[in-house]
Amino acid sequence: MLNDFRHVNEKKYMAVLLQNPIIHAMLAVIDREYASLTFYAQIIDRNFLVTEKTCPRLYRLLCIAREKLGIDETVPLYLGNEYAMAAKTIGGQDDYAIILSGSCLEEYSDDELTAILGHELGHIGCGHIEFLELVDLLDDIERFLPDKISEIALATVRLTMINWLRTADYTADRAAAICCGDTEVVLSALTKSAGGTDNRHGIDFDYRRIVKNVQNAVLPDHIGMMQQIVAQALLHDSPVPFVTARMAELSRWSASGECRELFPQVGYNFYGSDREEAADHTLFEQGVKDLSANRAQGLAKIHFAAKTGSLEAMDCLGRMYVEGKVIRRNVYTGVEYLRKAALAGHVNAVAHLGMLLEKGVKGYLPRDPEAASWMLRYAAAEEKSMEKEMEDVMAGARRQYLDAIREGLHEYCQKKPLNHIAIREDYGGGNQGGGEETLRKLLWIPRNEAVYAYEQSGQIAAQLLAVCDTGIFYKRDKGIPRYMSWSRFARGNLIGKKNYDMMDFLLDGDVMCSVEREEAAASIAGLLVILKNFMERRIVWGT
Amino acid sequence: MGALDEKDFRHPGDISWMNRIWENVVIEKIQTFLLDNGIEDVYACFDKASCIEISGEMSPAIQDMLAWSCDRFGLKEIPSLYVKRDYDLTAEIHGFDNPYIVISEHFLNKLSDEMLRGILASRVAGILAGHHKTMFLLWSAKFFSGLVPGFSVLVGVASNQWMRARFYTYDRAFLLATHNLELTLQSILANTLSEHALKRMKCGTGEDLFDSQVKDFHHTNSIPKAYYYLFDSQDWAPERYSEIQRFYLDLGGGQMRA
Repeated sequence: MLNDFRHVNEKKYMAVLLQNPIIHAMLAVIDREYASLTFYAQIIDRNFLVTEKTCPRLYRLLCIAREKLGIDETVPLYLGNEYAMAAKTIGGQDDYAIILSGSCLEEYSDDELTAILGHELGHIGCGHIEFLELVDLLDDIERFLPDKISEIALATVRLTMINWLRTADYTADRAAAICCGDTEVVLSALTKSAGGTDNRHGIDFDYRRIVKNVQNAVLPDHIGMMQQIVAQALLHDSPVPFVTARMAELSRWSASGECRELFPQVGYNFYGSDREEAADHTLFEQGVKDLSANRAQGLAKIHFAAKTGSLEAMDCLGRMYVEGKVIRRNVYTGVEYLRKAALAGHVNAVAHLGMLLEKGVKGYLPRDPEAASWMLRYAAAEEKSMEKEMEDVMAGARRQYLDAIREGLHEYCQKKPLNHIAIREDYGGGNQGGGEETLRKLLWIPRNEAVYAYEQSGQIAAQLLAVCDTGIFYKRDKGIPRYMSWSRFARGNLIGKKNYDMMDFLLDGDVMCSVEREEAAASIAGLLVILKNFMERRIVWGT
Repeated sequence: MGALDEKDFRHPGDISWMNRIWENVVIEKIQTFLLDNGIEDVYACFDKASCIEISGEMSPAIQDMLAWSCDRFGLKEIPSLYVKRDYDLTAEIHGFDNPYIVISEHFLNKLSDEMLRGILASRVAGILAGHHKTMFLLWSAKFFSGLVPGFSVLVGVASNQWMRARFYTYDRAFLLATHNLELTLQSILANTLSEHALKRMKCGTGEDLFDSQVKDFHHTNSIPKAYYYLFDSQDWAPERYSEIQRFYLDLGGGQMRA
């Protein structure tokens, strides 16, 4: 895939670089000595390593970007303290790391951060790192040169790199668009990185307008030696070289047949800045009709409809990516579309996700029959066509654990304050309010499933947990809801783990909820502990 | 109100040092070389590609400020304004035949509307005085200075003096555009102090907290000062402070406000 989005001139210019014996020799030095020195000086010593524990949000975005580009290797990510609102990759062929400036976390949205990381991963995936390091090496050498004549001599080596550097960024920008799935996110990030963040004079830094202003400005490809020296000096002084040229180039590529054909998932506003961005179902229908006559155009319309919020379009794209018949197969993108539509309440998308989980997708999605059955059950109930065998399954589940749930709830109500969680009136709670409908939508709780108790908390991250007929429905952050049947709950290992002022409750290593330590007993976690005790008493292990 | 004449706002030091630079034979040759090789076009093309243009559509208010400044100083064509991400607090004029202004994002976000108006007006005045051409030549000369023995000494001293003196012209233009001495004095310190600290300095009042530093600066005669005078191009806030206050008094002081 990485070669599919490489800028055509980048391949050409890289070939020129590789023919230059001086550059060849310097690359060998980088591989042997320089990369490890730089790595030590710039990373180990100064910056902060991003891991799942230290910075989960950023770590997750890096994982998303890696998945989208199909980069399997772990890429270390560090947070640095630089003014530039950008990231940089340093190291050698096999030993590299990304350094992201700390200010990025304040200024960029999650999608923009994914784009920034995607840009760097694009450089890594396309083998740019050594060449980028070479530019730094030339800077270091320049500091020790005795006179201007040597500087000019060094500049001639640099000259051969100018065109490649520019096109390498074009390639990496495409990788960024693929990672975040939207050209406009990359354009917005580039605008910010170049200084378009005015918050004082009311300047409208609309990236669409910026692209419009520069779309006819094409940088000359073939310029004389002296002109190249000037260009090279400018490149050296500029924090984000050629930023508007990059924006114009990325827009051109996104609208091109090449991108539409190979990377239709890259969202792009084909209709200019004046078009209202409301969910466009008509466009989706038009797109489906166009597919047979003009595939690229049809796909573009469906993608645009999905981008503007059409859940049908998202569901359709999700299936198309997973099946791989109309579009090149990309299970990750497909599941993302289905997930997005399902989270927004599209019942068919929930059912399609369930079908995927039923068998699993090798290498992408592990098989999860329990989750599959729950999602299909939810979708069927929403469509009011619940099958009889499912009713039977539920009835069985109810019978087995109902007594334990009743007793557990009763005990909880006797001992604990009730202001934390909502409990059904017949178990002594009486404060279950009108929020149940929303709860069912958010947690995908089937209509015929009774909700006994639930808690919604937004202290650290919004979390929801509901105790129901056949099991527990829960979700944390903006993720997809989860389901755990009573049988799994009863057999699993429930532990509470301190996490600063909070207590994480994990079942077989999976965090179900986080509550304040001091109030753990009164929270829904306290109820889970009581239920677990009751259930364990009733289970005869091994049967 | 008619447009101001160049002699109304140009500082004598700016005129004399700039003339000295242009009288240099090497500079003349560099100019010919740059124009013959179309270097300006490449410079402008690549430079603009690394900045973002603030067009009239993006900010009608700033476009109005530029138009007003051009009107005030008699510049026929409104220059384009670009912003770039840079920690330095600068607003510089780039280009040779087609000048444009490049302001750093950090500076832009720091300036109040009134201060921005003055800064833009002062750069428009700079364009009228031909500062951009000299800046472009000096920027280019940096690359070729190593090839010509003694060139750095010949041009370097004159260029350092001019680089400092041009700010006197900017300050005068700022004052003439805003008619506000306090704001003009604040603009001199704006790239060092925060907005809050600037207010506390009480610039231009009887309790001006920067005055004592200005006096100290003028009373200090040392080798480092002489060295920096010759070999450093950085503008000196105390000198600019005294210069603009002198200019203000020459104009009639308090009458100007009316």
